[in-house]
Amino acid sequence: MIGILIISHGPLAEGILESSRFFYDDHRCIRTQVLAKEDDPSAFFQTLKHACEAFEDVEDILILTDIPGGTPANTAQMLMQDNPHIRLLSGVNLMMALDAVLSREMYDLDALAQHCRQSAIDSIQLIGGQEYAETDDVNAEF
Amino acid sequence: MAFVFTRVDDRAIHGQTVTLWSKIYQNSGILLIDDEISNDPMMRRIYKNAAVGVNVYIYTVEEALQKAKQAAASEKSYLLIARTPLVFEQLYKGGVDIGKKLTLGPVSQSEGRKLLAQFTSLSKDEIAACNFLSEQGLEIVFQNIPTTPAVDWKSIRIEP
Repeated sequence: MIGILIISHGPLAEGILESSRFFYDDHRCIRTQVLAKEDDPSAFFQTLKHACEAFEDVEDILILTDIPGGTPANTAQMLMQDNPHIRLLSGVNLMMALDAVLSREMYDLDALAQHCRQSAIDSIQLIGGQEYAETDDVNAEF
Repeated sequence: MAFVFTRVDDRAIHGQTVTLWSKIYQNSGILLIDDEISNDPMMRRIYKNAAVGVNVYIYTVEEALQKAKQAAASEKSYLLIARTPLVFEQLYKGGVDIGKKLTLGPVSQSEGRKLLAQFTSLSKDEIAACNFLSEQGLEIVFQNIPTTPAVDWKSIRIEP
């Protein structure tokens, strides 16, 4: 089984988990770990290690984080040095987190990471500012 | 293919539809049947934009008698959505194959509607439409999101 761990600067990770309750009830496979402002960044490695170990029946872990190159992401990479069962995906948004949970039984770890990356990108859409072209539904072919 | 997923949802197309149902039921598009939305350019635009990477087709009930028939006869799979079961009764009576199963999602409590399941309220006419479709052999269930258990229409005791 693949576990999903969301880590962030401050409460973003917890907020994403909370918002995902609109879409998903079972949160056993998903955990969060935040780096609080007052935390010692050097202690975050142990915190993160414990968070990964706290999963039950999980072999692989997909970590979702906010900013690439931030302390949570950098610390996760340190953890990955000794653990080939972890992948890290930055730029977390609600769609990425939802798809990680919903699709985790359909893919192996690498394919899940790719799938979630694409899903997060696809969810970023610019609406407005351009001419809207109405489609011709009445003549649509199926 | 007939419609792979047929749903009553008074928010028409929204986050749960887009993120959950349309992924579980792989499809080539969503048909939304609603006279009011179909005739309102702003609402059309919002619902057309609602589903990322999914084609959304919006029809009046009258248009749908032709178009939903065509989609049902297609080799591709589609989802069928309306805001009230009355639409599905009309389509069924108009000869459209709306699928074997009807899922009742969120319908808000408004005047004349009674709460039947956690998220679903229906009026007398809507209950009659569901009873009609149930008698025609359609399986009808209440289910908001895929991870919650479906509740059979027939298991709900509905006072007349």
